[in-house]
Amino acid sequence: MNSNNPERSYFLLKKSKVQNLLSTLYNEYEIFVPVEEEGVVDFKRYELNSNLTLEFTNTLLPPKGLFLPQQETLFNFNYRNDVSIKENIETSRRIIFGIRPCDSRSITILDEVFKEKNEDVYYLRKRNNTLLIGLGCTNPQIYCFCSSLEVNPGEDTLVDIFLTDLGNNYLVSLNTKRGQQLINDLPEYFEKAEEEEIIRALEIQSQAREGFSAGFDKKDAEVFLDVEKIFEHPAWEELAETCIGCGICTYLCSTCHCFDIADELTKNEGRRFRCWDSCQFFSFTNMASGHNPRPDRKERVRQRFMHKLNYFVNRYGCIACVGCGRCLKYCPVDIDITRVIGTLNHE
Amino acid sequence: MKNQSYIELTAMLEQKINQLLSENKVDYLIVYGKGSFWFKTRPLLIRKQTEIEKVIWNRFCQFNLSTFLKPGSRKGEKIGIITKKCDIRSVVELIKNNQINKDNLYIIQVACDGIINWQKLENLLGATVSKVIEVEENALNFVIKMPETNIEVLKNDYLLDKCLICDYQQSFYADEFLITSEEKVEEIKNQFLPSLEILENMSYEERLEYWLKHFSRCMRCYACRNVCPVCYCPTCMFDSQEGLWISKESKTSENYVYHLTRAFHTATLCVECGECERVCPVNIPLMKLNNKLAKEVSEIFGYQAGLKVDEVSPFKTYCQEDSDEFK
Repeated sequence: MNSNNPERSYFLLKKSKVQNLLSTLYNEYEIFVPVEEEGVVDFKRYELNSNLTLEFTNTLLPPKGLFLPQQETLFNFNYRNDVSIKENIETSRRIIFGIRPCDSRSITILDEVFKEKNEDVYYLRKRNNTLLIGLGCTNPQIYCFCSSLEVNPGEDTLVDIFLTDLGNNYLVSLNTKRGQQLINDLPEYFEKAEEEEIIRALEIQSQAREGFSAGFDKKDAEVFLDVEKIFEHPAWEELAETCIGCGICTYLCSTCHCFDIADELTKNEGRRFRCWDSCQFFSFTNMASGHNPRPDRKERVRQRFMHKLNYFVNRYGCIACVGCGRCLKYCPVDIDITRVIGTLNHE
Repeated sequence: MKNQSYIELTAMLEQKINQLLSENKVDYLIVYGKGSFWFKTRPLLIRKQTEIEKVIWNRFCQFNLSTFLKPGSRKGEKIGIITKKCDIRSVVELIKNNQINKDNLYIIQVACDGIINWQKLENLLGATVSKVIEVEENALNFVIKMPETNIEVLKNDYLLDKCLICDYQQSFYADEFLITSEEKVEEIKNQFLPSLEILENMSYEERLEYWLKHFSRCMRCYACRNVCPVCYCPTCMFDSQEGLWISKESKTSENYVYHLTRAFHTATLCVECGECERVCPVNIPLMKLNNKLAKEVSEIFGYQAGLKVDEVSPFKTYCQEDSDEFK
């Protein structure tokens, strides 16, 4: 297999060495790893006593929060005596260890948004300082439908370093110079992979899609591009009847990225922060005049689907969904994007 | 009840709904529909007889449909609603608090002897949960069917907590009680909810630490509030544009104010249906707060929410004999 891909080099990382590897990297990087707490797996800052888990399907919260935190101080300021502004821009070098292929795809989708025209320095500084170590999926959740969105759960070339689970070891594939450099610097953790292991890993990678069944036909999503046809479709009213208007689908979405900005003031000082916001909330589009262009659930439910499947496609050329299945799993009333796409095609 | 009983009950339900719609007794019905997966159901509003085939009744009908009776969610005048014994208590609260007129409501109670807690099954089975084909049952156990193996688990361990203390009998407020002739509704399982004692025995500092830890995970998606049948304020104080009560940031301090306010605001109204805790994506044990408040209300005022429509809430009455701890 190496002959097909002469520049690609593969290594082997023993699972038993992962903890040691992380504690070595800990001195130089802020590392984020999947950690289980109270039955919830999420990316947390790695500490030497962290309860690291690599036997997880996916994290509850998508990793977008590591680049666009749920709340983030943009700058502090003094507005009374000597007027001054102090920016709060992250500079530390970071690693995300164990990011799934759907989620790394979502990060590249978000990159498009945050580097368009006016570069978002808060997002991009974090992004450029972060090395991604991906982990392939072999045990999909019943809710996963990444295959519908051209994500290969078994292989990921968007991350710097990609790991394929071989039981006792990971096969390490390198995608970038940054990734290569990290491996070169730490030869004690990485062994040369044998031909046999590489073949086995490539097999696992190509078979990974097989377990994934839920989803939709990509062609069916194109119906959303026809605004005339679907904007007043009765399906929106029907969805709005049972949508409870919470923010679960947007907050857990790996590509939803809307935020609000506000100031918090004390006597002489203040700070400007931004925090996640959701198009599902009434206040999201409520204006100072009192007018709200999306006054009812119908408009708000429709907005989420239209943004992902039409507006985003027109602006950035791809669907703003990676099939991670979080909204399917956690929606309290079982609103399912794959079913919505089906309904709009066939009803 | 056996799987067969659920199929029979679904048929009875379809027949009843058909009758109500054809006789124009209701404008629409709030029912359980088939979900995206076999182990999911979803709330559904149906208006036409042609939609009846979407109706389902099984052990996965966990949603408390009465939340769609709140004034902001209503879509018509005369409404039919499918309820479990537990859900009727929140319907009673809505009637009692003048949020809906009983005369415009047709309440169909369906025999139920417990709803499966799918989250617990997911926790038990881990990734293999996606291989489960169906869940059958015998007298004591659920039989989880998988391609190569069956796993039996004790029913009581995998029902929603509230089901363990439910008597499953016909409610006084049900206009109709659907039950199959062969099946007798089971006796009360006579168990108690997971005890509050552990929390009650903690010191103030320990309790504070316990709750701050949980509230720190809250991302303020407001699902707990929106799903709640008795959170019926037209504009929630946390959505108010006039006064900013808490910051939009989901910091622990702000989350703490939100959750305590929500809990106190629903005290005496909360019927402990457990929907808030079930929909919480970050597993905050909200029912511990709600159960504790219900217990306090019960001990101080001898009052339980959701039992009688003509009972007056203790917060709406004045009584000389009420205890006054501030003296």
